[in-house]
Amino acid sequence: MSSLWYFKMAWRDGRSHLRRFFLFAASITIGIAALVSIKSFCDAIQDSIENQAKTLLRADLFLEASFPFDDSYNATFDTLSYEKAEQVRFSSMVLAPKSGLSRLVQVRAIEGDFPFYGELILSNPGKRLKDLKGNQVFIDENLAQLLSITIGDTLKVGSVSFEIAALVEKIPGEAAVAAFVGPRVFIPLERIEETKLVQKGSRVTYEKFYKLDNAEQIATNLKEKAATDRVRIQTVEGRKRSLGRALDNLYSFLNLVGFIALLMGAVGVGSSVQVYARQKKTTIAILRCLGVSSTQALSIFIIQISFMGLIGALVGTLIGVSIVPLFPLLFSDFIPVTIESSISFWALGKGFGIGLLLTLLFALLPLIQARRTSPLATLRITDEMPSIWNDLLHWITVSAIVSTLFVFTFFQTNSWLSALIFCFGLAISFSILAFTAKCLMILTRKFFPSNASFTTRQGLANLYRPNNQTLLLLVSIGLGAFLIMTLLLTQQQLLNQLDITAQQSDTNMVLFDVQTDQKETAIELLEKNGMPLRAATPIVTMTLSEINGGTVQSIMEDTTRDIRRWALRREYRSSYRNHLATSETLTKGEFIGESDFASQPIPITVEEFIVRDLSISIGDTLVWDVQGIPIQTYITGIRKVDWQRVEPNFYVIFPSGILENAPQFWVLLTQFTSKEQSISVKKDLVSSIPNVSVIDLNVILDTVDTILQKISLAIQFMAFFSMLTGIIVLISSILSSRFQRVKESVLLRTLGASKKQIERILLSEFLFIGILATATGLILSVLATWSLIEFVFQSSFTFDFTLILSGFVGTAFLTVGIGWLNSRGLSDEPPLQVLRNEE
Amino acid sequence: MLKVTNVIQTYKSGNKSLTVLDSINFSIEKGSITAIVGPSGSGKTTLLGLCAGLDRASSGEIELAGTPMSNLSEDQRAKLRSEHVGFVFQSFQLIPTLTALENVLVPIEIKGIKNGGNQAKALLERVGLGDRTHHYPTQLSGGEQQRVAIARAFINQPKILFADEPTGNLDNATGNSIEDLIFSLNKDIGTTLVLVTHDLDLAKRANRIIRLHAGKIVEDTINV
Repeated sequence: MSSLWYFKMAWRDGRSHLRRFFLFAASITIGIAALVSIKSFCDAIQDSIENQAKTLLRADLFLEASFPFDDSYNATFDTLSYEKAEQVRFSSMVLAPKSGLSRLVQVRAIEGDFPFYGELILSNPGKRLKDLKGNQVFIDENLAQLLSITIGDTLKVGSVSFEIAALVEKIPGEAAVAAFVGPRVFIPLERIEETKLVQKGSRVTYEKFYKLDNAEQIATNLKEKAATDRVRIQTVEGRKRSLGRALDNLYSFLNLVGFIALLMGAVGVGSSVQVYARQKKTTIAILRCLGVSSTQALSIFIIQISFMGLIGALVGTLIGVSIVPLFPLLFSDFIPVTIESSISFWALGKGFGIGLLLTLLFALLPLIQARRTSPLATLRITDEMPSIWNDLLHWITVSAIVSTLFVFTFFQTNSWLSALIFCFGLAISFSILAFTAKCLMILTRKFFPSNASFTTRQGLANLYRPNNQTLLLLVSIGLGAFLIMTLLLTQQQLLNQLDITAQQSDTNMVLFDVQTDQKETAIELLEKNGMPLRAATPIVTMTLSEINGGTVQSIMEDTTRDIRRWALRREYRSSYRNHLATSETLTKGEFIGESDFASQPIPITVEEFIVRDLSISIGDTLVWDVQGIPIQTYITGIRKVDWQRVEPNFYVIFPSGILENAPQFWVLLTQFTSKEQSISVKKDLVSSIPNVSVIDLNVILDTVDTILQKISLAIQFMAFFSMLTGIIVLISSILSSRFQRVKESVLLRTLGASKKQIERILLSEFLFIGILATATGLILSVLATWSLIEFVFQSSFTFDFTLILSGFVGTAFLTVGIGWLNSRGLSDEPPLQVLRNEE
Repeated sequence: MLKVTNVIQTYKSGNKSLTVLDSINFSIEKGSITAIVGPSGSGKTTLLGLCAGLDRASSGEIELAGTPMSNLSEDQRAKLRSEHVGFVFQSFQLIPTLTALENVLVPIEIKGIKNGGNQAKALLERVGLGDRTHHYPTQLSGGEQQRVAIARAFINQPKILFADEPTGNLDNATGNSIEDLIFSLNKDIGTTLVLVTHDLDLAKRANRIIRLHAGKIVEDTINV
């Protein structure tokens, strides 16, 4: 027979199922659209990073330190031709005298024509940072809103009153969300001394930006010296790499969501094709009787499915292309480059190809099984499908599916191990969802009241009809409900937790950077505003010099040691006292509260996380550089700290009698009871001791809420892909089994059931699917949220009944609505006509 | 045309095995009409399936059109069927998605023969359905569907036609006209006919009657 015959047969056999094929195809469109759009978006970010690489760093070379640079760094550049900008940044309170409002901000004292690359967008075009002179200040536009001030108004930064000369709309190389975390205030570098904000113990970052040639070479030359001096060097290439690494998680998350949507769609297609293949058994048996081989029969259906896959992949790609512009709107606040949205043909091809391949493979499985239908089925009708266990082609297809998933994941992660973990994790996740759904089905059937009405019992029984897709529906709708509910529950839990902490704690305001000679003034101002001093904790800054006799430098050079570099290089803010705080428990060793400077080494206790990161244990000796003075210590105890508490906690606690005379500053804890009290005390503090930073828990709550809302919108958009796929699979599944439903309805009507009864049966069936699917998703989302809250956020989980109930009712109603819409008219037509028309 | 030698067919169900056909031996001459009769469960349909190469016997040999089938693969048997065999089923077995004309065309198209449309139309005309060529099976009555099935069976001019209860799903009058149609086409084309039936009146129209009971041939008579 000619190859044309296969196409002719595929068309003849398929033309009456076109609507059905389009539905199959629809199942994969959303997944392919997700994949194409996500891949295009990720490619666009990468292209933007590549194109705007210099904008990211805003210079060719960047140096950063937590202390002023010495002259040796300037000497390095003496013989070179370059442009330089300097920036000193630190956190501080600012006060808007006009509104009386104050806020903790990030002050940036700047000098030079910064940025060298990219454009800092100001409200009045034409102005640049180099124009910032005298008593002018540029502030973030959202800070202007928060403090109810605008251009021309005064802003008090430390001891200096500045005039707002421009509002900052966008800073190149920084994500927009940064403005919400720490609003930025630019002042001229020359005025920094006058502000009196930089004092001993203040946490200040010094930055130098250079515009020059051969930046990479200079960075290489400086590398060793910088490491010794604890200076961070970054070049354009380095910034690109570090941003690329940081964005890898975002790419993985997005691709994962897209891939799950595609996989669900492909499983949906497989499941629908299984129903189709069962209905095609007779045709296959007849064709085989007439002399067609099993492979030839299979070819006819492969042509049909390929056509369907092609249509689905094309439509999916088109949808994907059309939603690409939405991504920058959702994610631009978190990405420090301007995303140049463009269509990536590589992304289109990849999404199209992988979507089509997975669809064909999943659809092939049931067809391969059906191809072996014996021609004897023409003589004896049987509902059984041929066995697959000894079918080599079946196992080749299964292997091809697994390999495709694995290879695809490998290309996403570039790591065999990650790909393996992802595939394994995916299998486990689907198994848990399927297991939960199966358990719910079994329990419902077992414990369902036998005296329930006929229509309800019949609706439940429909879930177990032959060739049912109940499990797939429960898993796909459940997965959508799971993703969305986990997100909403986690967000709600975090906000509740902050709210509860703010309400229940006897502390809701923290004063940082209080110098020893400012302590009394601060306490007086608190008392003046009727606020109690809950605690005053001293802080001494120090760095680590040696561990067990080895210098930090030598440990860092030893690549065989598993020690976190940041833990070696960081500036430690330690405290001293003769007792454990209420937020601490001693998990190992002992806490020695008193000692004296002469009896070195000094007994100290350390927090458990830093024990892990420094690979240290009880008895180990550590040498600290306390602002130039070495102090030898040894570890006597390990503490577990509850970091959720609103009080300063420390990695290292010294005993009393050692650090009392070291340069130090204080953290004061207090509590306000009204908003007016909070505004008043902040105003007093900024006016009298402007270097003191005030953290108000209510402000944190607002900030977290704003950021979570931005993040959740993006994640909800992504979860929508899997939810939408679930809905399409539901529609496809309902229409695939429509003939079965029609036969059941006709039989019941023949036996005397009323139209109303049939409608009730259908309604019960969809209600059961909706309830069970939602329950599957919700049970797992509650478990996932609990795990996230307990283990990742280390907080305590509270059951938000209202939110869970709303999610439950919403998803269940959505399922019932969709089921009902797609089954309408089923009971309207006369039984005979229905039987003749339906196929 | 068909030679059945010592055929045994057993099916396993758990630990038990059930012998459905036991030591069946017969041969059928070219151009003859043979009826296989017997009560329900006697093994008639199983025997028909084996003779037509739809299934493989547990032991013994069946030779169809001179080709022994015991060592043929499923695909080789399919090829043999497409070359030599026609079928008429009790439940018609038309492909529901194809029109009457397309259903009739399938066997010759499988063989790669093009332009068979006129031949198929002529056959449909012959079975009285010249004006229903573009109707789908669901748009035809039972008798009409069986006529299409007969047209499909004869389009290939098969050497042997197997008919399984061809009138079993039809009323008497329609059944009689279908019988007439099968016998008249058989006479025209010279096909060997093997009928499985409960209907003794139909069986009497055959040259030979093989009676089965509990999987064994209990009677093999020639109609004079």
